[in-house]
Amino acid sequence: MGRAGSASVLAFEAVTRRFGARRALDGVTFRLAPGTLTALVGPNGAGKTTLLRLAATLDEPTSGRVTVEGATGAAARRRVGWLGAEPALYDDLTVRENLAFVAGFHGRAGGVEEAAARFGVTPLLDARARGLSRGERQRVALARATLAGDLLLLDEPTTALDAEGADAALRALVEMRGERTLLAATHDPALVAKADRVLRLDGGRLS
Amino acid sequence: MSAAWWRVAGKDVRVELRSRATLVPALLTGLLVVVVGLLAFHDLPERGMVAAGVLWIGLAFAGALGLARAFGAERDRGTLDVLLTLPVERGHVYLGKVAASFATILLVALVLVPVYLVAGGEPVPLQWPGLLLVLTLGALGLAATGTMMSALASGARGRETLLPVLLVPVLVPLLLASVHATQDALAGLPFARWRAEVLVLVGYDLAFLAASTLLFEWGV
Amino acid sequence: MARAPWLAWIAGAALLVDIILTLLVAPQAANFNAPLTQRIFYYHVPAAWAAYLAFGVTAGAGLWHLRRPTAGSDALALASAEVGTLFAIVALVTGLVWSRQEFLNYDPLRDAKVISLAVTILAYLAYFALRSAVEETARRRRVAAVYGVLALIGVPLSYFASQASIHPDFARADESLDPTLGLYLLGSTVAFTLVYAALVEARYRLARVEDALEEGP
Repeated sequence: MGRAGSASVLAFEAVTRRFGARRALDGVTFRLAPGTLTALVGPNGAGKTTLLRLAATLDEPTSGRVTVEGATGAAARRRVGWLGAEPALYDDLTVRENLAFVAGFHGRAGGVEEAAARFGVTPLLDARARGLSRGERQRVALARATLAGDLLLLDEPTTALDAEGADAALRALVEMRGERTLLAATHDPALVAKADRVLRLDGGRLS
Repeated sequence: MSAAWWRVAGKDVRVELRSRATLVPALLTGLLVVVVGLLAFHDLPERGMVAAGVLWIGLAFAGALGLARAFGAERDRGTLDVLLTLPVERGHVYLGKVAASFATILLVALVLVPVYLVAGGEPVPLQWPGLLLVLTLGALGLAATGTMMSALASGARGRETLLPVLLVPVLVPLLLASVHATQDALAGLPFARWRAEVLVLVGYDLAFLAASTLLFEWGV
Repeated sequence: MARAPWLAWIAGAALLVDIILTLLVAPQAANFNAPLTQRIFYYHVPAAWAAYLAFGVTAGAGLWHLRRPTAGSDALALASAEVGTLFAIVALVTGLVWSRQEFLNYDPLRDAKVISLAVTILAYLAYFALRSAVEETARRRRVAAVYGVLALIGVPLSYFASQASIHPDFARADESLDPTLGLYLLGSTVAFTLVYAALVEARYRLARVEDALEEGP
């Protein structure tokens, strides 16, 4: 799949995000190469979630620019798959309906079964999301993110999973390198070990 | 490939049908107002004259209740981020929500009107197609402004009380036109007499739908 | 932030001149029922004009803020909203006082202009309530701007809705106002506009200071 010449998959240019006097992000600049897995690490409150939300167009920088393959807004969102810190599902819909809702917008409605299999939630497809455990919801949310755009922005993807589940999820994510680009905020050492690159955030600054 | 707003509306409707978390309270609230209104005015010989007012008060309360949930619930559950990361202009999300709210409010209206007429012993108005038109336009306006205000209030402190505060000033023209047109329709007046109010309603709906769709990006 | 004291001086002088002219110099209006209270007219109409102008500025500054989010455009919107509320209340009160004297069987609820002003005041108050309820700065400015625009659309719609549904409108006697008296009205309008500008300028400077304090070093 050809990519537009010089536009990086994700580019942050001197991005600052202020909340009153506090700088959640301060002059952050980086570019992500396509097909890579990047781990975003740092202490709590370092700004990892803020960075991811800015990348996903869920927030606007106070100054600086964020682009996804050179695009912003709806065009950027077309290229993004989002996993928030809490797996947010529609409780009254089934897992299949939750997945299909997002997949349909990205033209991937046919990939629901495959994504569910990849994250081990196939037996849950026709269950209402309300009855799922935290770990199951996390895996469904992961599957949903992969049914969206090719740039996967993941906030703590393996944190709520048990050892076995985390293992399987990690393998699935690593497998997706190449055709997808991944940026994951994480405390999980296993994920960091597999990353092509590690971005370290502290007090809003990249070190 | 269905339109983005239609998908969003479909999702909302499906959730609503399964949970009935909005429709039932809204209906009950509306019925409560109608019942109180009938009791309060039961001695009034021209009870028909207050019918329009009571009906629209009921609808406004019922609507406000339902509308508060539109974005409040999404934000609480974290699913608002799912909607906001969809690969569409955010105006589509707004329109989808308006469509779903409109259906709920219109449904409540179609229940409240017959209930009031029957319980109040009023005759069936000859102008019922016109009445239907007014209810539809009014419900659409209520859904359009209410959904937008729900979005504005959803990220704020005390959003349950904030929503009515934001809603009332912009709802005044809608209520004025709707109540008077409803009154005239119930009284069986010919359409030409209350055509002006209907035009105001059409203008209101168009203006707020257009403005809110464009501005939604910044309001949510 | 540079001060502009000359604006305050000019506005103050204009207002003083206006009061003297309209209260003492202007002749009695011929075809009004209550000639003395008619003079309130010279304050009511300009106050209403200033109130609506202020609302327009708030909405316009808000729109500009959405295009280019700066603290300045938001400060202007807020300043204009606060000053506008003041003028709107003055306009409503003076209008009610005058109308009660001028018209028999006056019913404020059947007066389209009263309803418009009341809606304007309610919208301003809602605007302030919204601002104080949103804690995060960037979001507060954005949603306030959106509400400002939407509320503005509601004002002319309120007027038309009242016209369409409530008959009659209590016609202001502007049409039958003597041309020379019209000059006094125009002068008064200019004076009130200057006062509006001066008040907004002062409030704007204060808002910028508040913003700077909030942002910290």
